Amino acid sequence: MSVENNDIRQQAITIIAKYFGRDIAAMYEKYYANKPDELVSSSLALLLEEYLGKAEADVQLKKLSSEVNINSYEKQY
Amino acid sequence: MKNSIKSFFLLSALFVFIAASYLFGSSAQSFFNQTIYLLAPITAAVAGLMAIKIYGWRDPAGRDVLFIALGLVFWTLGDVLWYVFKLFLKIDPFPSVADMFYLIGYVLIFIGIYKALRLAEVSLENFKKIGRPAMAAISLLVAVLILIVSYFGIYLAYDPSAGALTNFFGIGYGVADLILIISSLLALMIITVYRGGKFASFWARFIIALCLFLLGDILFAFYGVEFENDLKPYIYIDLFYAGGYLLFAYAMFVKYYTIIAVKKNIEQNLTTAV
Repeated sequence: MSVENNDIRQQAITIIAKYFGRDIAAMYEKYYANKPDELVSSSLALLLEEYLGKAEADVQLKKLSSEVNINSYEKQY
Repeated sequence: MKNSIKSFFLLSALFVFIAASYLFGSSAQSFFNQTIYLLAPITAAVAGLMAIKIYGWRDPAGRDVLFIALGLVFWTLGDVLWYVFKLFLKIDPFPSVADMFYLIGYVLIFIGIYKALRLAEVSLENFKKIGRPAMAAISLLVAVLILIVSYFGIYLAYDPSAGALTNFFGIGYGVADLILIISSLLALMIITVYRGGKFASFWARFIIALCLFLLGDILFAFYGVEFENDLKPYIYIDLFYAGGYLLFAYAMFVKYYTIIAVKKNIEQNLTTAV
């Protein structure tokens, strides 16, 4: 698994824990363990849109992608 | 039928039952009325405790719900004590330890809303989403409410002939109403963040419940003496509180079932994945 893969999972789980609690985040952690990046992103987007609304979901997803990119960049260089 | 819809019908039925006994019952049955009225705060406290259970006591994600639910529990304890003092011990419930529970309840609910505000990362930018005409109407309404509460609930609440404790609690309720107004405004800001999402509907119900409490408190500030003497129509003030409690309960039940639904969904996904 690449560095980027770990990051997107970790960030997604952090967001889920923030809004839905640690129990649900732990379940998502198990679920995301062997899933491709695209599925993690789309699953998170669906969850956030349903509960946080489209606008806030977009804000959170934007933050996630920028944080994943920064972490990935820092680890490479 | 979905659990949230079921709870809506049950809570509505409970409100109709309470309202009917107040509207159609004679003044001789005030003991009965005030006994069944207690069902409303108790239901809200139970709903709040259920919502706490779903997150646990220590989960930061549930801190807002924890404080709000504790606030409802404190209000319920205040109501139960008021009931016991007035109807069983036959002593004037104001001022008493019941008032202490009520006032602490307001503070706890405010802390809960503040926690939710922090979680939602609300900024002043969110106010722009409301739109100028709506914002102007809300500002005007808030200003009028603050004036009414400050004058009737704080300024006129001071009675130089009464004791320090009476004045402390009397003015305390006025300050608590200012807290309710600010809380409603903060909850509105939270809705602007979650607009279109299920979390927003929790806060929408919550704001209506806060407004019902505020209306009840304002009417109580005007007609407190008539209300305490069980006179009609002043006793109907209780219906604002009962409606507020049941809406708080509904919001908490919906929150509970929302989180349960997320849990079930991911459990299903995990089972399918295996």
